[in-house]
Amino acid sequence: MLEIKNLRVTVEEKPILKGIDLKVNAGELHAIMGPNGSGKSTLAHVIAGREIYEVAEGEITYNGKDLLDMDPDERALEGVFMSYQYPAVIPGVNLAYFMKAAANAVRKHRGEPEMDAVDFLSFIKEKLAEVEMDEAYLKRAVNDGFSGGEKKRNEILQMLTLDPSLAVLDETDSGLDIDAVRIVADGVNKFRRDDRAVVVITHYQRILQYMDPDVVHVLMDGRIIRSGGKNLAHELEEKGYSWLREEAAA
Amino acid sequence: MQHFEEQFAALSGTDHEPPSLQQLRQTAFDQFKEIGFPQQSWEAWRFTNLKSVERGRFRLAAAKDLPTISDEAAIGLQIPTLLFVNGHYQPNLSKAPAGVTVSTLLESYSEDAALVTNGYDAGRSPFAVLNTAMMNSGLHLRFTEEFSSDSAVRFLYLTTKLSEPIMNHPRLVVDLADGAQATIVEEYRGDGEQPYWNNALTVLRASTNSQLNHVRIQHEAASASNLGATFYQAPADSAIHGTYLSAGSALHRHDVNVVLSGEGADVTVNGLCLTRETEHADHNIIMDHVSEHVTSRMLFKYILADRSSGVFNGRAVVRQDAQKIDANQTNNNLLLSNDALMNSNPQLEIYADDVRCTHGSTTGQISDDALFYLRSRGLDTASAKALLINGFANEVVEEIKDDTVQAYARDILESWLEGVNRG
Ligand SMILES: Nc1ncnc2c1ncn2[C@@H]1O[C@H](COP(=O)(O)OP(=O)(O)OP(=O)(O)O)[C@@H](O)[C@H]1O
Ligand SMILES: [Mg+2]
Repeated sequence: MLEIKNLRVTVEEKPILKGIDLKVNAGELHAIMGPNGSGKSTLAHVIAGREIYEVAEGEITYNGKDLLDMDPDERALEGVFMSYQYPAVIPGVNLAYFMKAAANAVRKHRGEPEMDAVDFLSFIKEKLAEVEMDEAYLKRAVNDGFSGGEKKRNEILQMLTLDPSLAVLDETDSGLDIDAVRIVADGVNKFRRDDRAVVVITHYQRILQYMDPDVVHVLMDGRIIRSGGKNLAHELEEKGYSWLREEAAA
Repeated sequence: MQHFEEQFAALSGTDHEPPSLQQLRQTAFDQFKEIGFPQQSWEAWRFTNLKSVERGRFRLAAAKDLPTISDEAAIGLQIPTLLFVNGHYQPNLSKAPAGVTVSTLLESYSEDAALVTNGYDAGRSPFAVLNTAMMNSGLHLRFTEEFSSDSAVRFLYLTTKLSEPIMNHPRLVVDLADGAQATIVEEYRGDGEQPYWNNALTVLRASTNSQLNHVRIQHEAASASNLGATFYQAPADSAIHGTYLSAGSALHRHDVNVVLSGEGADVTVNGLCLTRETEHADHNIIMDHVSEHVTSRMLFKYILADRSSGVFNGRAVVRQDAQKIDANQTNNNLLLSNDALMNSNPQLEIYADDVRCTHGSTTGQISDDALFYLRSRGLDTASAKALLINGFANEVVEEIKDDTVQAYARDILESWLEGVNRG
């Protein structure tokens, strides 16, 4: 579904990603771990299409199409979803209004009928229940005054509402209490299907316990320096990253 | 100035007004001549250029300027309306709901001159003084307790189909009886290419336990100049809630003077100001806390596109001995272009010590993070921007309490945005 080849990315002429290769097939869940500043969020943003990150080299194909050739909104409509490490605040725009606009943009793109206010409300209420969010959030401005954990839950709500094929979740488990981690993991598990793929960026193996990743990657200094099974996450949690760094240097 | 003298002479020559009114006009006109047009060296006018009205050779509207209005659609908002067309009152096309008495200025002046002339201090404002000299149309409205709190009445000042540049000096005077609750929409609207100038003066006098909702909508033609001075009297236990939407005219200046004169007075004034192309809009607000135990809020938001410019001067004055004041003043501005310019100057002038006053101002462009967030959820750039701009404007639009009027304001915002997007 997603294939990244030799991706090199710079920000303000500073190289951040230094040759990433990654292949994620439909049905799979990949985890990416790595130290602070190693380039994980950069990778997620490049997949979503953020313009400030400059792709110096390499390619990304999504379902056989050149992803880098598509605008961010086009990517979203084609089924690429990113959950933000730091979701933006949208003052004055209530969540219901925003979600209805986004859900209908996707439907329109797929040639499906758009939902009216009544249909949308019953639809979104179901999704809210899945992530155990109160209906009162619908009337609040998007992420405005939301706590860290509420913002992350809201990201998962959006994922479930927009029905994407590829979800890249950037530290969606950070800042969550123990119950919320389980709720988010349940949301992701419900979302998983043979025709969908998930990339989970995380610092903790805790969420991976609920999720059963197919592959765990370690991203360090702009490169994937190791890929392995679920056990790699345990190993990292115990030993930290330094042993990998030393091995890489050796 | 000679042009204005000619206009004034023409006005005096045709009038059948009481001598005391003629005298009032003459005194005001002499004062106007003495003050002159604002110079940019004057603090309150520093960023606003008035050459277009000074040199526009506008003549006072005459009977021949009145087109026939048969088209209800031109009237827009479907609420009881008192209609003026090109400076002429249209009683046959006007209606007022129960609980409000409508008189012409001349009728009220003849009853008691103070009804027309009290409740405001024009000070050294040349345009307020000029309005007194030349007031050529307007109404006096009296709201009683019978006026239903869910109804509203509109003063609509329509300018249309002109063949020459005209000016009008409308005056609207509003009185609320004790305990009355009134919603009044004051709207200036126009179209056409021909420049025109409206120099309005509005006096709103609340009473004890009365509640006034005042919505001022300015969407004049792009060729127009709209200057206005609004004076509020807020005595003890009165509540005034003013919301302004301006979305038109090449030049817009609105002076607002609020006097909170009795304990328990509570005043809110909010504004949403939309400018595009080379338009210029300027608000100058003075919130004067004369009495102790009063509260006030000011929230002004500007959205500036293209090469347009805006000025916000807000001044909260707390008089000596006016303790226990709660006053808040905010000005937030959104620039939609690199060439747009905003001058913001919120000020506090406090002579008492036991007060809680806050003020703040921000000016910025649409947040890239927010825009990207929306696009990454599938909204195209234009829709995403529109959503963010609407979100920014919402805080003010929501302040319009009457649903019908609020929807009308949203429509104006919507079509303004479409205009900006078309470029
Ligand atoms: N917009 C930007 N401008 C300048 N530098 C940036 C920008 N975005 C990222 N960087 C830099 O790129 C590097 C990688 O950042 P990135 O956010 O991708 O790291 P990360 O792996 O997600 O870290 P964390 O675990 O702390 O979230 C960092 O050194 C960061 O400072
Ligand atoms: Mg990160």
